[in-house]
Amino acid sequence: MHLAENIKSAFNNVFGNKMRTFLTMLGIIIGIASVIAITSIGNGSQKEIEDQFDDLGVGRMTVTLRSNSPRNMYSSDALTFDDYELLKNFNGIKYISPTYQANFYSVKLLDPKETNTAQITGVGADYYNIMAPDLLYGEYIDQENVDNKNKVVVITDTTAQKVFGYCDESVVGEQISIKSWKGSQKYTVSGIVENPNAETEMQYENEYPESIVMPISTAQRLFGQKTLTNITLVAEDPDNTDILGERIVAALDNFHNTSEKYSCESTTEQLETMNEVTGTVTLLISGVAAISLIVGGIGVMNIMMVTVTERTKEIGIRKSIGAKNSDIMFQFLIEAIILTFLGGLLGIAFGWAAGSAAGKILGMESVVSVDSIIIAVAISSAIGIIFGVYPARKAALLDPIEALRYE
Amino acid sequence: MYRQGSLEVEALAGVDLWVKPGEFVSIMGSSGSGKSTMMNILGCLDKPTKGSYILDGIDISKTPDNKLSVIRNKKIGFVFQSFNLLPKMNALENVELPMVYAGVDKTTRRKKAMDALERVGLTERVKHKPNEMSGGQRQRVAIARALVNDPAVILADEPTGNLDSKSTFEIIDIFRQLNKDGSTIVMVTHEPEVAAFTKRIVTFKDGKKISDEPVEGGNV
Repeated sequence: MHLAENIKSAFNNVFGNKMRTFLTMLGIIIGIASVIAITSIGNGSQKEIEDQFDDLGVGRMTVTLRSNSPRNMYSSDALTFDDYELLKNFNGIKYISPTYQANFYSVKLLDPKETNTAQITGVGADYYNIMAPDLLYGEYIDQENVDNKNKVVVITDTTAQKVFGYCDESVVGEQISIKSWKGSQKYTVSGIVENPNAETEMQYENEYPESIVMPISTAQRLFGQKTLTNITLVAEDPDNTDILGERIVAALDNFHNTSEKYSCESTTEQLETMNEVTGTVTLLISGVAAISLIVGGIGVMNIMMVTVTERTKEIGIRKSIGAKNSDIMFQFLIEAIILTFLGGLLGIAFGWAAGSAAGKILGMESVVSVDSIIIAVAISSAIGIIFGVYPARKAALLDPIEALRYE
Repeated sequence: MYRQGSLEVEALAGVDLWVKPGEFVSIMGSSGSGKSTMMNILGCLDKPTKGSYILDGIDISKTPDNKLSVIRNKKIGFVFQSFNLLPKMNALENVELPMVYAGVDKTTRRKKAMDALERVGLTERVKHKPNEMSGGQRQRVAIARALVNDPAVILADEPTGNLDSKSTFEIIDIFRQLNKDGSTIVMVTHEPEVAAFTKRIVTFKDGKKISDEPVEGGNV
């Protein structure tokens, strides 16, 4: 019997009893849908993490106080320029920059247009090399700016757009006002960088503070602080950041006469761990969801057994007019595969929808990869074959005389 | 080519039965007489444990099981008492089905099925499903299905058992016409008045052939 004929007749039978077909498929639909939904969320968060990898660069490390409580921040243990000077001459460090990050709620951009709050980061001259931002116009903070406590700032293209209403070369040299509790002061825009988080920030409209970068010395004067929030650096050997980190922590503890008070970790390391955890969790939950696929497969098998029994007479008739055992086998096997294959397709659609809906609610990205679709289709068809073979074989091996006699 | 050979059966208790091409034989006997077994063997649904069955020159008793379906498909046309049409298919599709298994292409299938339906006098209602047809119409469809692959023999098992007398006469008439056109027909029946329309009556009892004689003045 021709394959196309077989498939056509299988479709007719499968859709002859729509309710039963749907209920049978439901197990597969739910199974595939949950696997797709879970992996799409898992893939999404992994992709987000990986995107952050790109931002982080290789071998970048951050030195901080192990506990960032205000008590520590303002104690004698807090990081200062002295620590920066100490680490500056360390072996194995490629770039190093002190940073001071101001609590942003108190800072507002005023001129020429009032916008929302700003997050101000005071940086050293190496900061540009460490973060490697995309400089669109003008210049980044250099050593001269730091030495002279110049009142210059680097803003992002999105901030420029908001404050000036446009973003081009002419913004460089313009002035913006930053309002703190000391009153408002004017700063000259020395450079504009591309905002790497522009897309994310757009989703949250104005809730994100404007990111403003200025010389560390300028920032400390603005906020009246001598401490550093952290020290950012890039290791010469990105593969051995842990050894460098231990050396740095030891040196700082020694300098401050403390013990294990500081941490120096590679940011990629932390993210790698996160990524692994996300992957494992996704796999685990998908595994649990996949169990429902087996249950769905058993459902398909059950209904196929019923179908074979119900259609014993039909099998007898078909055999008497010349159907081979293989024809009968294929007929039922194809019906089982159609059930699970269509169930798989519907499952992908539902899973996709559920994944993106859940992603929206949770504020996460959901990514349905081509791989997971191919795997889902393959698995659901395989379930059809695995759980369809036994009933189909049973049908094929029916004795035609017995089958014809069946009422 | 199909009608070149002859049928030989040696079954049950030393039964020896020859059916020549173009014959119209009825097999009679009460239940348990062995006529059903005989039909199953003739129809290649079963194989004799002992002895041999030669159909159209092929020794069925030595044919492997997986080849029997091809023999059934090409050499035998079944007509059953309960019609045995597939309920989800319309008349035309039912008649086409043996050709589907034979691998005949769609256009040829359709044409031959229409021809077969015309031969049994059913040109209308061909797109109707069996449950929309009368018993007589259903049996016509079944006969059309039986003859559509030009079989060596048409085996009819109580073909009029479920029909009223008017339909019975019509169906018998179709069989006689087919036989006149050259078809070999073997029919099981327990109704003497139906058997009387055939050319030869073979009677079974307790697994033995107790009589085998031509019908006098019957079918001509």
